[in-house]
Amino acid sequence: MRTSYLLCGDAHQAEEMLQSVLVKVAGNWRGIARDNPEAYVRRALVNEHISWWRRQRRSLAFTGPPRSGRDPGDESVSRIVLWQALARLTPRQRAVLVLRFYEDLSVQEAADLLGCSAGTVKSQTSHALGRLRALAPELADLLHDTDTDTARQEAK
Amino acid sequence: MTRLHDELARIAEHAPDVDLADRVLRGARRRRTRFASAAMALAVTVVVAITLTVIGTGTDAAPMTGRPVASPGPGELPVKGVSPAAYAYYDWCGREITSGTARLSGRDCLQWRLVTRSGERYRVPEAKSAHAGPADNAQTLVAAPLEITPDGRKIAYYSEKDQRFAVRDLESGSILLAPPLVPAADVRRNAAEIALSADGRYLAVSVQDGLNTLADLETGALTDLPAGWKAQSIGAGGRPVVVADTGRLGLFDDGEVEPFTGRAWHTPGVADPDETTIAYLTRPYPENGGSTDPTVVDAQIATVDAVTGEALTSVQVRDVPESFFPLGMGPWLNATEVTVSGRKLDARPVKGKDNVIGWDTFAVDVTTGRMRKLDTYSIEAWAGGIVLPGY
Repeated sequence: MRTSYLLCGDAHQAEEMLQSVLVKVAGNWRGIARDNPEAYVRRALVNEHISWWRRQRRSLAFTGPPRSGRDPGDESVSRIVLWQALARLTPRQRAVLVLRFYEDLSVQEAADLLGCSAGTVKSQTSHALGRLRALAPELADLLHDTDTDTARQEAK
Repeated sequence: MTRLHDELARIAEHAPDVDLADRVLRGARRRRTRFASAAMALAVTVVVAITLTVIGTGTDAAPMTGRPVASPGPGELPVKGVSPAAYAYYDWCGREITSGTARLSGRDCLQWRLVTRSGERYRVPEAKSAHAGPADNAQTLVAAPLEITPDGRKIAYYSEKDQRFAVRDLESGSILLAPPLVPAADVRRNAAEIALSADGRYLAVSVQDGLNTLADLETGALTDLPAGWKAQSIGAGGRPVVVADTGRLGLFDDGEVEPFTGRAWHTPGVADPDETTIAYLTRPYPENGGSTDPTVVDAQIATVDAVTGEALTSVQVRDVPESFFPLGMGPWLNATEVTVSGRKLDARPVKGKDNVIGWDTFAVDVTTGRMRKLDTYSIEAWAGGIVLPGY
């Protein structure tokens, strides 16, 4: 549920998305159980989120940038700013960040789950982080150690 | 672990605390039982099922009328005599919504606003707008849908008091309702979408995992659309109906969908005034199969025959503004140019004003691909949406 919530950013939608995915899992449980059900659910969630976003893009709402001049050390403010900035990423960029920095998956694990190459995950991570920095410069402090972490993981 | 991880984990703590397993398992058992019964019924009575499902074309079909607000207050849409709409918008009261939306619940300023071509500006209280609150983190920023016919004379919206989608003639004040009952909770939670025909007579309503139907408001007849396909645009008189699934466009006719594209990023358009040609913008998915680059790179403007779906022309779009992101296609401007609305990613259209958001409209020539800017529509807001006639 938490991954679903981070992917879509809305409590009701997170519930609907997860329920829809679990219904599919329950219907095909025999086939899925032999594989890796957890990875299957994650992948299905990401796909569900992306297809929902496509349906919604005709009537996208736009959120303005957060007001400047706030104390970046204020934890709750940076959380809200991060929340808003995440909402402005593409679904794929958001998924990459959630998988790598919340689920703590390696580059290869994220690539397997998203069905793309490790190089694509690396470049998407870099683009997503760059976009977060552009959208919310006050998150620079928060994102600082992702560079080190990214380099460490990529070296693995 | 990074600080980003910790912050994401704190956000994730606000995820709904519900156990879906029981709900899902009960649903799965119910479906299995239903499937078994259906299979038995099928064995007894051999039925050839055709995708076409027409509901309400029998004697039961009847138009449904709605009632306007008896005596609109100051600033509210008058009962009748309203000149054609230029655009509509909602702006979250112009407030920054970083601390949640609950405090805006019930405020008049949350309502859809309609701006007429003659410059009047009205609130439209009967049209359901954005949902405010109740929890700070449940920010569903997109309002219930509203559409305007290309001539600006009719608007479609969700009427909460009728629990139905409605189409209102601004001049006469007459209101026709789409017959299916749609609970307000479904509109808010399940991303209801509508498509209004160019003459305002037909309204397609789709609600995720539920309703997906095309209503003839003058007769009350309903025609279900095949699962997975949603109406994007409807010509005057109910044809052509352009539909989309995840990645393809098609024409809906006689209960069936005939796809006219492969899978790619498409922005569906409307038929030209003669209803012979449909234009759409298309660009390939990135090679990795994902959807990481929604900006217009190598976009083509293509046209197809509005009856057969046969490809007619396809040319590369030229003079595309940097980081342009198309949101929708609108009416044809003339015989060769079709309109497109969009915005630049990561850029405010009104420079230096953080609390102003806006959208640009462009004309794209389907024969040369040349793109030129038409207008900028902007509102003072931190979040919100705008609807243009025929888009």
